[in-house]
Amino acid sequence: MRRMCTGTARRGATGAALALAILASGSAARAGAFEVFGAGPVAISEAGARAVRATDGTAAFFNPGGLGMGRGVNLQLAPLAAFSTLSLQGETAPVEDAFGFVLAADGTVPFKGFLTERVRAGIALYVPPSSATRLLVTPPEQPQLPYFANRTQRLVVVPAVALKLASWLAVGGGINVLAGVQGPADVRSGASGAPEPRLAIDATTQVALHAGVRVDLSDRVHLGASYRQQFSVPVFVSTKAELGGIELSADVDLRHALFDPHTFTLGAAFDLGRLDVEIDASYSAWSAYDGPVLGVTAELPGARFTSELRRRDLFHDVVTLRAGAGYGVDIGRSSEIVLHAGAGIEPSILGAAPQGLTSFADGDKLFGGLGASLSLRDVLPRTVRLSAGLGATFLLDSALQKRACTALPCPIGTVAGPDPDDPSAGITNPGYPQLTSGGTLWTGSLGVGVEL
Amino acid sequence: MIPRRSYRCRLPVFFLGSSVLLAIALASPRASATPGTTFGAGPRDESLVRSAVAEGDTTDAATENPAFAAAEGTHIRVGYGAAAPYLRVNGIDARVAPILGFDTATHTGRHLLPALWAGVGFALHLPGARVARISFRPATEPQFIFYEAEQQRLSFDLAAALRYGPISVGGGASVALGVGGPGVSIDVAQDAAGPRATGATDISLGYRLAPLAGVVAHFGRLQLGASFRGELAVDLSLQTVVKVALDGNPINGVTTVVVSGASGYEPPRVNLGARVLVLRGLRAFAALELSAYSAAPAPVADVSIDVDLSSKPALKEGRFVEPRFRDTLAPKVGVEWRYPSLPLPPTFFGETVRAADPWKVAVRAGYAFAPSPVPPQRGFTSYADSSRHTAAIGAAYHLGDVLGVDLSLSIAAQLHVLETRREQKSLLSLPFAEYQVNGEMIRGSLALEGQVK
Repeated sequence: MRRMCTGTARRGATGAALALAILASGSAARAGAFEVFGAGPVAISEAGARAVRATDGTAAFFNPGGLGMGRGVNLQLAPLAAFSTLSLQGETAPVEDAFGFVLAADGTVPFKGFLTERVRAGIALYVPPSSATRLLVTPPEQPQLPYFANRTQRLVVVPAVALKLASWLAVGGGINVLAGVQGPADVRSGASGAPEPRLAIDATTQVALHAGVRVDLSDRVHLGASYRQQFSVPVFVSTKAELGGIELSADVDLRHALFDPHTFTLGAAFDLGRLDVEIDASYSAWSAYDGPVLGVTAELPGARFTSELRRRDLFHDVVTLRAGAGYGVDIGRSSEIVLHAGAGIEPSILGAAPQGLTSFADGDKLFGGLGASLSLRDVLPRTVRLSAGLGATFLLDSALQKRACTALPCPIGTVAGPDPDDPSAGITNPGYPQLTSGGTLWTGSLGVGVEL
Repeated sequence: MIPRRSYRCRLPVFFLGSSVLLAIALASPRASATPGTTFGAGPRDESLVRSAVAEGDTTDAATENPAFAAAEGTHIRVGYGAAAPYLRVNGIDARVAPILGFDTATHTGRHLLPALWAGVGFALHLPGARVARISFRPATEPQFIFYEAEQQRLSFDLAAALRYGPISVGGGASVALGVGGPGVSIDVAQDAAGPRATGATDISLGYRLAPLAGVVAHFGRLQLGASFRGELAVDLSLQTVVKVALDGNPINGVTTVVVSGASGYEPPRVNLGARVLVLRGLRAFAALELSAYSAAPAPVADVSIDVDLSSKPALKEGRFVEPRFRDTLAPKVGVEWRYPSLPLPPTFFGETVRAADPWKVAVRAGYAFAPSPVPPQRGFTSYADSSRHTAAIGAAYHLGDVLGVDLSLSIAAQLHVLETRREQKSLLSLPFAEYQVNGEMIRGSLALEGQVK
């Protein structure tokens, strides 16, 4: 009886400590939706090939340097929705919370003197309607698509400032403000005799940088380069608990939730009269990713349980190629419709290293998009732009093989059944023996913008 | 005569300021507004101890009275403030952390029609050391509940207003986030490779909004103002499920833990105030602030531990009664002198001269008294607080045009004195049966404000 009560207290306290530790973990807002869904209708329809030509508020995300080449004051609002026909193990894999609003604004700061018409500010936002952030980490053995999962369920807020150094050169920088979480949590019986929590969890300020440059070689040839710093939610909360005279500890470590990698992009755009074309190449450092895994270390007297599932060899860096184009057609004397199209290709972010308990799936991807934007000038008091874009991310079919553990101790990258005498028998891991994925993520957006 | 620039030229400044404020605020986990309501938001507001409900800077619209936003121009204020608390329990320093942070605000407004103005404003308080602190301590310990974690949070407010003739009306919202969702699950299980712990989470930060409203009536040398700020709390309700399934383990089962509470509670507040132009350049302010603390939840978290074993169920709970705080009525007065200044209206209720204020120097002072909402502590709880006197001084200098921006610099200093208060509980066996509370806080702030012409 004593043992059971002790165990009750232990697990209750451990759970309480974990609860206290975790309660602060859903506390950050970072980029992500722009990378997975796209940054508005034009970006979606041009497959994200906008590192050179974006000069409005979305340039804060694509290339803050391009912001410096913009003009006037512009506002844009674009509802965005995604629909998943992605598949995992033959079943549809939904993308959670796939609706939000893209807002973008930009304008020239009215300095005088040597800064006249040289400083521009912009902001790009993705606002999910239901909650600011949703921290969704599934059990590690459950099949999941880390490229799409838990990267889009949060606010994206990227403000930027650009400086036009010359008529042909602009540089810009933006910030992505993050909040990591760390601190102690403690629960123990207080003077009242009840379990009383003591928390001092700090949401520490973290900032990730966006930077870029745009160079206009001529009126028809433009170059751009940008860098987006890696960001993720670092959470580390060390908890202690004491109930019934028993000391307990539980640490929760969520190092790379809501992850986006370091991304370097080079692009070139060509103005061919009615047609403008852009080609971008991006390098994304996915090898730094641990995967969407919640680390748990729980210690009870005489027992220690851990989740040692993070591995640095599962993901690898990728190079992405994107191309986009716009073709303008005059309507009447002053209005114009621009037809947009784009395509791209990106290899799988997963490497060849065999997985153990985890069931991460990915494959090579093809991007495609179509859309149009209508600029109405002299019809209303201000120039109004209506835009629509439809995009698709085709996840090419892939099949990852899992290996069974055949003898103890089980090597890294294997899965085991319940019987120590025959570990390869009775394996219930849902990704064993093969993890298949494929399908398409569809994205659509309608936007309205105005020049003030 | 200076030619008027188009409105579009001023919007980017507003965007720039608002973007940074919005970026920081929206990317942060929680919001509450206590630093602004305790000290003020910006040197002018602080040196007048928040008595300027009837006439404030446009950048005070989101924090003090939304009706202030109904004015022409584009403004941005960037400032920094720091408070050093020396609060004591039984004469011993309670080590309440310094309260530091940036206070920034933007505003843009337009004269739409001959008698109609409109404007919007944002304000942000960003704590210096951290974005937010979530803190719950055992209620039995003496704790300065209004000066600890509540002062270490980011706050974000926005306002919009219209003015027609002598009446300005505004509204807005103070934004915060609550914590909820299915919560956390932890599985302790084993296979042939041995025992292991794995986890999963589904936690959402939902939006929480508190309404702001305000009105200002302009009657020549007299202005009357009123503002309302709705209640706001950082609530959390989080469930953790721990499953243990180990071979031959007698304590296999499911433990469910629910932690819930409200941190950083801001009560509904109503502020009524007046401003009188006493002499040329001399303004006098008075205000009364009603804070409805009586609806406040307990500033400690409830814990519920539900253990479902195969052999025996158990339940353990920790929950404290409502704190029964009292509503408070805080009087505040302030004076401001600007030199040079516009002439007074020809009569007391005559129309104010419409021209740019030519001031170069301003000096300010204020006094406020804030009664404590905490009732005598007679049971398990040991909340520490006492009535507070605040004296403040401040000054400002108008720098003039710099790169097309009309700049001014302001400073303020405050002294807060918490009266000595002694608590004696009914039973000496209760935790902290006797204790005494008192203390001081010193606050200083500095800000640069720019107006785009």
